[in-house]
Amino acid sequence: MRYRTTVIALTLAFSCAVLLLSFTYGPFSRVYATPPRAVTVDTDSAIYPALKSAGLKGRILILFTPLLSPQIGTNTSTESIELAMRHSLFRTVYQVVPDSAWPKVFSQNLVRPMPTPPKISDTDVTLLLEAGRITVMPLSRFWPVEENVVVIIDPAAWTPDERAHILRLMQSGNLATDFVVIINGQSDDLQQYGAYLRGK
Amino acid sequence: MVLASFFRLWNTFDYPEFLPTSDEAIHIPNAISLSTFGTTDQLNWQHPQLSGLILSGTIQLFGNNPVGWRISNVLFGIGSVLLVYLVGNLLYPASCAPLLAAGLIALDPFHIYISRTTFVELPASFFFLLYLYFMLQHTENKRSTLPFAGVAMGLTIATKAYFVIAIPLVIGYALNKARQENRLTQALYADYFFTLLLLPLSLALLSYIQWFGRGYTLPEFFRMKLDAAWALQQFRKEEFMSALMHAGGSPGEWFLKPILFGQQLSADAENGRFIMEINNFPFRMIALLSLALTGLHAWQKRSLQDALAPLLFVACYLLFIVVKRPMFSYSAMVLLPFAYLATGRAVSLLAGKIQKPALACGCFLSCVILWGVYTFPLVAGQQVPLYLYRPILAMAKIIGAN
Repeated sequence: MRYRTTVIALTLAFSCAVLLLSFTYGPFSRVYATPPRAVTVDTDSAIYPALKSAGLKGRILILFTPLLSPQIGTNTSTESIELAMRHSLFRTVYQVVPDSAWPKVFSQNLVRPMPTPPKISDTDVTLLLEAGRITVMPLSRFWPVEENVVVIIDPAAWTPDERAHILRLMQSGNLATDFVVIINGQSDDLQQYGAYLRGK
Repeated sequence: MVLASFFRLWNTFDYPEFLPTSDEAIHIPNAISLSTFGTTDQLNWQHPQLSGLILSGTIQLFGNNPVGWRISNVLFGIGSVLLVYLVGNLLYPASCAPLLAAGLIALDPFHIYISRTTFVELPASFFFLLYLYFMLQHTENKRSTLPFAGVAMGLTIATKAYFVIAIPLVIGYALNKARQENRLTQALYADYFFTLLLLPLSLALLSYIQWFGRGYTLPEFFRMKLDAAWALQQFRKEEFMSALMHAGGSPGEWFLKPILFGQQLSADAENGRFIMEINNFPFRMIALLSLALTGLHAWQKRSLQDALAPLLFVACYLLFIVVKRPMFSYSAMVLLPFAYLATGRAVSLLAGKIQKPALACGCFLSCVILWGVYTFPLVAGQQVPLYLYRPILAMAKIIGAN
């Protein structure tokens, strides 16, 4: 009887500990940018070093750019993002593209050579990679994310209205951010995002 | 056990590169990536990750070299031989069946080949045998081994999903036994709930600790598992290395025809060196008949204990036949313990019908040993005189040559 009680008690304690761990270990492992900041990069190949230098880990990335090209093996944004995922910087990526670019990006992702075919829904396409998911969607289908995210944005890919919409998302708290990478950003872009991040 | 150890250890660490007909080129980078970044490197995220963690452990212990790569499977292979004997002893006591089954596993060139590389089928099979052994100790000898069975079940689930039908089948067997013995109480159900449900599931979840360390939480774990189940259904045969897939045959052929393939390391007019996967065809081809004989005997005796090995074989084999994805020949590994337990049982039953059963079992075991000794050099990359192996090599597909 004593053996039975001990086994049940130990099993319960073990199971509770594992359950607790499964909810808390991940969030505790995430590393945020301190202080929150915005940086600009000139080339796609500079994205990964910029992310790495911020010391990020276990984060969600929102990629406001249609640039995830199907070329792998060269210094493209694809390679930078997938390397960052593999190296634990990001666990999930949402690639948000202008609605006007959506048909092209959608068809690009369908033909992309991958071990697992893309998962297609009415609103998005999800790429299942070894290191996590990349969900691709048009801006009109993008929904708020509840945790603090990293943002990479290519301002040249967006109209002024769309850029303003994205900034509003951040300022309203629907897209809380601690690190923004601006691709080929102008000084006013940096000022805008920098001002937002300093205000946090 | 001495022979089993010798055949699994001899020369195993001398081949300094990844074995081309194995999946070492996938498993080893995956294991290193798993310990470094908490995720696999290629083609493996859909599967449980315990075997990768074990492999990364041995690589950290022995170095990124052939010992670090292969030592765990060597030990699992030797351990499996012992477990087959112990399980056989519980299922078919006072017969030569356990010895024959263990002999068949110990000297099976296919099992030896798998034990000398990094295939995850071996640890999965080992952990299931461990689970089966502890469950049988609980049902047959009334030992308090349920928590150990739960731990072994958790390790099985955390390695690969081959036993999703076989695991509940063993629980069903244990519950039926308890019912026959009027031991089916609420306390027993509670014991089963805690030790055979909560404990293994928690252990399987814990095996993803490195994955959770990448920032994930439990809801994301469930989403990943749903994605994995979906992704596994998307695999198409033509997307795999077709030469290996074709050479290994389909699941329907594994126990019906000789299947031999592998790499030729060197060869001249008289001698050659090979590393080959051989499906132990003389004995595999009597396995289905033996399973039928054992099943028939169990039916006549109304003995679920006798029927357990054939049932477990069917439970695992059904998965290969009905699952909508391509199967490599190395998956046959998980069927061998049940096939050989039934073969040992069938031979011991037939031997019991003649005057000298010990002599009949001895003769059968001698054949097993002779065949194992004969085929071993082909599995282990040893130099062989070609004239001695011409009949076998004539059937073999050489899919890589140095």
